Amino acid sequence: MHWLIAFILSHKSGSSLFVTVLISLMLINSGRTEQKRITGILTTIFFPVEMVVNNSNKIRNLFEENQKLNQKISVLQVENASLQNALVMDSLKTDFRELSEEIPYNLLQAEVISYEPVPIHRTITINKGRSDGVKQNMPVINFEGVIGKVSMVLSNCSRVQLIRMPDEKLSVLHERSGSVGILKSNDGKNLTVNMITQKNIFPGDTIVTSGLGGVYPPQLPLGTVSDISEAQNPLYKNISVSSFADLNNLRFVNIITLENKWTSYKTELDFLDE
Amino acid sequence: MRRFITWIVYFSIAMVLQSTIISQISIHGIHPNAVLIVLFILSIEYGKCAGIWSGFFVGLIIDLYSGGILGVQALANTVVGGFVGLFSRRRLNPGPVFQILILFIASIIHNFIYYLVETEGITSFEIIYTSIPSALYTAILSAILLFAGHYFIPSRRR
Repeated sequence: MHWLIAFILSHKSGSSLFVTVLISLMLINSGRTEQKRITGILTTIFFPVEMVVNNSNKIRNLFEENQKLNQKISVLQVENASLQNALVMDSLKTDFRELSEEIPYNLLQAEVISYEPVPIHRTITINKGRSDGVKQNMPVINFEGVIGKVSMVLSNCSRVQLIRMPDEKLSVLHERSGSVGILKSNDGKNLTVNMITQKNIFPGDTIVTSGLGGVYPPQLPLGTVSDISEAQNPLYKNISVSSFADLNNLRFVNIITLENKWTSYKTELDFLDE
Repeated sequence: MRRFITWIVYFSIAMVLQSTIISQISIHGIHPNAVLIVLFILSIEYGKCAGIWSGFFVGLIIDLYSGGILGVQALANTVVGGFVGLFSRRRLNPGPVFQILILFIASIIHNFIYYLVETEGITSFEIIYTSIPSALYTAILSAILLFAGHYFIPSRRR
């Protein structure tokens, strides 16, 4: 017996390897019932380790659960966006229907497909063109008010020049007093009207189209008076106008399919211009 | 005793990492073996005997909770512990590059034993073909630890 202990002590590594490999092989070759029994015994011995492993499994489950929840959130976000879009579309349809009933002109609904790539855009492109019956100088409005006019027509799309375009001059009417003025934008941002001095013009008053000029029909809502200041010419006053339509966030617009009132006189007018 | 508890903690951390973070960083189902890396470091530090017994017990614990055949991991880790112990710092004191090579071979040996016993009808070629990517991943991951240990712990330098 002594020689065996001496042998083991002198060959610690070899004996360890022999013993462990032997035990491992015995475990591998043991039957299913035997393995279950050994597992039961060892599980009791290694209970603290089991706790660690179980907790780590819980953490792993948390990872998986988190991943699944993230996927669910993505799906719900897509669904929510689609529902929101449906709501917006529905609201736009209602607005269009109400506007069509309110305005005695034929309307053509169009979607804005691009903005001018500058911070304050003065033109927009819409998805309706010559093939849809759009013609140059047709007025463009939305359910809030006047937006601008069609400045260029292509076969399937058109460009709309907004009322804040510096070239644009629009004949307007102070609704309450009936005073007529010309609406323009010097900086491409703020709208101003030069109007013959009237004492009864106050901030908040409504400005509508006058119908003069032949492009815009009369009485289309345009905006409200936001400020009144003295002009260089003492006969006039500078009236700042705040547009009803949010020109920065246009998505759907309506074209009034109205022929330019002055088209028949175009030759004569051109002659007079010359 | 303190050292013994420290290594138990290291192995526990490795097992927790293996079942949590390591499974998250798998590439096409191939993931490194964190327990093997700890076993490798222990065997390099303390030699064959420590490597064999640690490998046996750690393997046995993994067997208990993996639900596979009892004794497979114990056998694989025992052999790996003994193999790595042959190149311990006391005997050969291998440099980091050589250590990575040893770990790569140890990883292949581990997988070879594991698949040989656990999977029926698998050929040696198939085992090696399956083992190499996993062994490479383990070696790459351990390389960071080994080089860090080599350069930041002066006592570990040759």
